[in-house]
Amino acid sequence: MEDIGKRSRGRGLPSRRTVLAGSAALAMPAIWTSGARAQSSTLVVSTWGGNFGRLLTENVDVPFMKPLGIEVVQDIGGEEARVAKIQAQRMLPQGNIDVACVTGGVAQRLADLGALEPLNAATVPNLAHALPNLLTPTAAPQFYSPQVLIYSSERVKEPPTSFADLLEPAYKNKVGLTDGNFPFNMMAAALYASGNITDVAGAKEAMIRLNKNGLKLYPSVDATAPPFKSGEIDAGIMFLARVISWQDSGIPVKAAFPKEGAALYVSSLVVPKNAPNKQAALKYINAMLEPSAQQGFAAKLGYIPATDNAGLSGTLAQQLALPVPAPKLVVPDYAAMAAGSADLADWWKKTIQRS
Amino acid sequence: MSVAVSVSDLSKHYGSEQAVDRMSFDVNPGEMIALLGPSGCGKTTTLRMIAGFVEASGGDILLDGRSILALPTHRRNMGVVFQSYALFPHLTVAKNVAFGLEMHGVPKTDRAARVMDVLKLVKLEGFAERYPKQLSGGQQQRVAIARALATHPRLLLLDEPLSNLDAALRSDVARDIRMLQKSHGLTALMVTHDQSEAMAMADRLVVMRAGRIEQIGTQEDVYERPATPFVAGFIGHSNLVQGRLSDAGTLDCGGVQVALAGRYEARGAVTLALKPERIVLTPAGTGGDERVCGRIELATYLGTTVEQIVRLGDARLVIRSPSSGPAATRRFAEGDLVGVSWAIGDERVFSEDDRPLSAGH
Amino acid sequence: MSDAIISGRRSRQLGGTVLLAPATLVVLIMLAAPLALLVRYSFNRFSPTDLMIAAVTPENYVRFFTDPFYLEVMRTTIGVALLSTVLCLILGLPIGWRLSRMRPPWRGIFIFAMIMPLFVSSTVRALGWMILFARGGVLDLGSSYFFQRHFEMQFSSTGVVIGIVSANLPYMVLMAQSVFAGIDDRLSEAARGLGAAPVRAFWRVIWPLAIPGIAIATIMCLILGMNAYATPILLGGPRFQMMAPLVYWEFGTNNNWPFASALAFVLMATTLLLAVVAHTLVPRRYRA
Repeated sequence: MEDIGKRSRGRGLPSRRTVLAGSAALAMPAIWTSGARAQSSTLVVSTWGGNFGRLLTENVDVPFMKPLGIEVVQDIGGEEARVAKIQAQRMLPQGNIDVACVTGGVAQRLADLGALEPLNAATVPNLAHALPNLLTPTAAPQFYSPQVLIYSSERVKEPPTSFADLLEPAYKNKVGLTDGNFPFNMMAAALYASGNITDVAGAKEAMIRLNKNGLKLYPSVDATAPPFKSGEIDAGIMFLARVISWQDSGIPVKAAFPKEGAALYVSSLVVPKNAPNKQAALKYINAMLEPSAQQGFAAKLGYIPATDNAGLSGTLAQQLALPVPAPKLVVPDYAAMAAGSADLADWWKKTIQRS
Repeated sequence: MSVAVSVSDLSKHYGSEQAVDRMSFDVNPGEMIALLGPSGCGKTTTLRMIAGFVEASGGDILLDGRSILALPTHRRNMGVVFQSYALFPHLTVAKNVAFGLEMHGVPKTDRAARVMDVLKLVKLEGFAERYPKQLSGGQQQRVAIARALATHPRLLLLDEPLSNLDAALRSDVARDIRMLQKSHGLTALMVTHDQSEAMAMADRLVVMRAGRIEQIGTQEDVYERPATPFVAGFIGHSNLVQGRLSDAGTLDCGGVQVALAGRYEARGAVTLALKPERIVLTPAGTGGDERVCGRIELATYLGTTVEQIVRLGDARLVIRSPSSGPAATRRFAEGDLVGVSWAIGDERVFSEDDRPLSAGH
Repeated sequence: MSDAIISGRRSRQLGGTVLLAPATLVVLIMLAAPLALLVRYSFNRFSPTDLMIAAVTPENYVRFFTDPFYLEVMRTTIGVALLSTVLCLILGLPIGWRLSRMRPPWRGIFIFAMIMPLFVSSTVRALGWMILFARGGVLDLGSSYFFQRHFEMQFSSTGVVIGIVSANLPYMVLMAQSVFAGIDDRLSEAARGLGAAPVRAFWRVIWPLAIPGIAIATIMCLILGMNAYATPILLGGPRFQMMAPLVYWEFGTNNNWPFASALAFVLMATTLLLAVVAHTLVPRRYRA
């Protein structure tokens, strides 16, 4: 009996979510949500689909949540849709997302809005193991990946050491970036310009120069891999995790840490203040930080665990190990990013994409 | 004067299907010829080959002694009137008529006058600025004729000119076309499946069947002297009675002996053709030249005529007689036993290979 | 007696109206309401924290019409739509004409062949072109082998136009086919009988009669071109901008619903305007 009830609830949810995606912005209160989801054994995790969602199910939902009697329902979509939902629902007494997977900058934007529940080791014990420089009062860091210089191991004899190299005539028409990663591309440019990750003016100037050097743009991260293989481009800026996974799929690329510093891509988990099932959400985040879950993600996606007790070993540990001497790693200044995000997006579209 | 159009051995086949099979006929200047036959007999294909819409598979078409087979339609100078009229719906009546003039390079200044002349000819001068869809069927047809005539074509081709008209209009229009054609000495070829239309409009008929010519001749020729049982049946709706000539003057028709009016040398299977209106009925056993007797199976009063059906063994004879007037004969009731007779000139006997047999006395 | 019949008929008509009402209502709600919302949103104000603030301000429209960037994107969009429509006409009309004059078995087969691509979404077809145009793709390999130079079609406006033409051509061909098939062959024969060479007969008789239908097909291609989304994104790449992807960018990436609504409304209005202009270019007597 109970099983049947659960299943039908699970099925009913997606359509309600679809409706909500639109209605949330209409500021139409999600009254039916509260009534229908009174039972506390369901947890809605808003996340990316594909490998990411599957790994969550395999490493968190099944081994940790199921034994607790918590049924996890994934609300799959892009990050911006997720942000819009939380943002639009934040004034309501109860939203319909319990846990959201977001990147560092987005977590900061939501925190600034006061939309997030504080997280600490008292409520999420495993946060005691989180890397302190990645930890914020409202976001639990899940893993990170440094943004590195990527280059073709076949065609580049002298590995690049800095963003500056990409501006050289040797790389004319041979540098490619992922268009969707423009905030991080700009951080790399800022670090090159002045060593200050918030130096927007310097970053803009450097990026314009890179653009003039025949910069190529690709719509998505996945679309940036084939041109390395086909010889269309020789170098670019990419997250280390992706370089590793491309290497695993036979694309001849290598990573180099820029001497001016590598911005860190951080993937976090947050809990909206009005999450309907907050207790389960905290348990979920704690489970995510368990070593076994961290290892599962690291092995499949090539990201570096954001905890100090993940205990990686073997080839994986070697692949993810940082070079010696330790490179300069820079945590993005999320507050600065959040303030200028819309302007930066516009600037990127009008200045970099257009010319 | 030499012939205007000479069609010789004209053939058309689609794959193995022979649509037109070695047709030969002439059209004299100022003459209207009707190609007549049931649907699928190849008459329309013949017209379309003359117009140039369909390429001939063999034979030749001479216009004033010169072959036109190699010429495309637009250089043949034929005036074509289509069954559907095919008026240009986006052009006014005047522009429809002027179209051919323009195509023939008539200067713009002369066109209007010529358009009006030809519209007067078909009594539509007041309709010049109308669009085709604003006209009745009869008016549309007159526009189609005017359009075809405007360029003074060497030959006027009419495809089923009356079939899209109301039955009540047909005889009037047929007469109008005929008068127009005669008064202007137009050389014309029409196609029809309706023998009365062909009779009313043409100088000579070409009766066709299955891609071949059955008979060419005047109305009287094909009516009075059909060359084949098919022509006798198609033109005069003749009764066709199958039988065997057992002696010179007797037709054995499934056991019923018919005393023929003529004497024939042939023996064996023949077809006797008798026109319904040329048969006389008398009370059985009273007439001296009673050729056979039979019972009235059905009698129908049709206004001007009475149609009676007499059973002769396996065959039935349709007899049509005037219902009143000096030629009216006595009417019989169903079941009456009647004597059937006809004159020698009204009797037509065809051999087994469909050739007419000559009758002796 | 007759009163009863009349009232019976009237009540039947009334019944029909009542039966149609729910469907009409649904159409109204599904079509008109979102449109009304769109217009309403476009006058709202955007805030990075609150997303959308109820207001009545023209600022979103002012932003569009005063920023050369957006006007340029609109120009590109109109240019691509017009060019792809002209190409669809040039390629589609002869094919449609030929199809309409084919004999029965072949006509059906070729029409089916034209419909076939429509079974595949335009996104998948654009992906096909992407693979074809890509560095290391068939065209690039051929070009590299024969001309010792790379084939540069990926992420180009030419590629986008090719993609849109390939997506819209079947519609043009099918509509042209049915327009031409609806014109009696006898009309062309009549024109030829009156001394018009076949080409002249086509332009003087068939073409004027086809214009209303062709105009509708043209307007449809124009609308599809103006609103193309997947093709410009996939074949144009990040540097190529058209209106529909821009609307989505403002809506989805920037979460700026008011401006996205204004962009969408401007796009819609421009498309409508182009359709009206295209319609008025057709001489009055040829209009459907």
